[in-house]
Amino acid sequence: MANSRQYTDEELIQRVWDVEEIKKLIHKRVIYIANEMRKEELNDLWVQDPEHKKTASFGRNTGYYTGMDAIYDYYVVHHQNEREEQLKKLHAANPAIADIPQNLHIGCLSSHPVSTGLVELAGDGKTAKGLWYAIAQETEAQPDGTGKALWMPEKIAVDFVKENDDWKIWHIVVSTDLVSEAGEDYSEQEVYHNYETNPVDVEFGTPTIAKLIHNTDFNWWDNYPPMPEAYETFSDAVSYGPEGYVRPALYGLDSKEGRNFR
Amino acid sequence: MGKTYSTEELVSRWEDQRYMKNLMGKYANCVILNKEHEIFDRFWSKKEENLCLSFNDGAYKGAEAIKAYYEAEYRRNDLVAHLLQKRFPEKLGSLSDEELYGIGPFKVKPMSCPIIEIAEDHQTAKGLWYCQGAYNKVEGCGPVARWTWGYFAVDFTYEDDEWKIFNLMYVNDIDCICGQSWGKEEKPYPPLPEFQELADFKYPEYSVKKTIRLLYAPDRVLTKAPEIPVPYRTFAETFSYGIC
Repeated sequence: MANSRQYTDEELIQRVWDVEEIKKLIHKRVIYIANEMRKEELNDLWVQDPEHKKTASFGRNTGYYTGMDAIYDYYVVHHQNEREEQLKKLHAANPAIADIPQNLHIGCLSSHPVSTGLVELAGDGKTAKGLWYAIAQETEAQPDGTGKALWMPEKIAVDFVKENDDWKIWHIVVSTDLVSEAGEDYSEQEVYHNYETNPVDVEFGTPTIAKLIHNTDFNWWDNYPPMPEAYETFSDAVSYGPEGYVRPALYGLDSKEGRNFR
Repeated sequence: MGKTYSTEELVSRWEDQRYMKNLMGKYANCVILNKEHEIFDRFWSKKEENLCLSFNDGAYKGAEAIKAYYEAEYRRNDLVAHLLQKRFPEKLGSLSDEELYGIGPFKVKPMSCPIIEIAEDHQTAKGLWYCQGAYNKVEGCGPVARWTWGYFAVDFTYEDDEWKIFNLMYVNDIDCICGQSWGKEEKPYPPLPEFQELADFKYPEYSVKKTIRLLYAPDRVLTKAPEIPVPYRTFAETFSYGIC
């Protein structure tokens, strides 16, 4: 154990159990995403304490939404609007697909199963940090009757906080390493990332704090979000929220190698 | 968590979870090793009467039907190996039946994202896993590799100090040829006469033949995952992964 505390047997088993509960929480999120239960995810799995809600954040490659209201607008409202627009297009192309609520998400499939779990529980037991990898995919029906299936391998980094004996998601960073259509050769995609057309960036929109935090042109190995290390108590310095972002030492062209470097 | 447990109980329940994760790990390894014919004896309940093994398009109910399914997998593995022996006599012709068995199929069902709940009365438990699997089978068109993405949803019962399966649902969203898009029409490989027997191979009829889960298609409506286990007191007070 990296921290220097001495724990009683009761404390140790509680810590073991806490890590199990944290893993279970993030596994539930996988199912909520597959079920298109984004609103329920924010209600059931994310922080509810007013102070935590203010400082909650959702990061992707191009920045962070901060505060649960902004997260809700992006993650639930914007997504719902996008899906309603998509259904209208499907209906226009094929009237047999009725534009009714039951058909929302028709032809959509989102799978973000996590593996390679790495969880560090704070020495004080009040917070925890976790990092997972997901060979994710998202598929959406197209007006031509096909589905556009995209591989989206990604790191998922999470700060958890305990509220009334339950673990909750506080800060999350989903850093997508690659977006590539299934059945295509991903080594043949554009050399430089196109932020105007990349579906993850387009879907993420303009966050509260817009800045490039994971650069896939050259920095698959930029170590953001970083691996959690053993820690005693939570602070901004270790946060997966925007306050914890540190510009990587090897950044952009300075790294001299990376995607499609030949 | 509804009930508060003592330290000793927490340790015990942690070990129970570990046992069930290991059980499903062993199950997946039996599938990889083409030892489906050992699965029933090793992992299924011998005391529960209403056992159920279900897939996307039907369910086997009861011990005899479930055993018959696993035995069919064994027979199919055996048939594949013999067809390959005929096709590649220079490599496989001298192998005995025992040496030959297992050549051909490579079915990988790695399970992740476990969500396990143990009943307060400790008589049953429920588990849900995600499975980004693949199977590399020999079919009527010869060898073909397919991606299979879906769920294992399992009810366990505690008997003779061990956890055993009494309902197992294995359902997929994706079952498509590797390298192709599951969003587009599949481009099947042409049949090969030397593997025609496999196209004709039949598994036992389901006890319950019905669509339990449709595979993904661009016109499939939102299809939710098998239900997430939630804390419960007794099995009678929660849902079942068995199929009626």
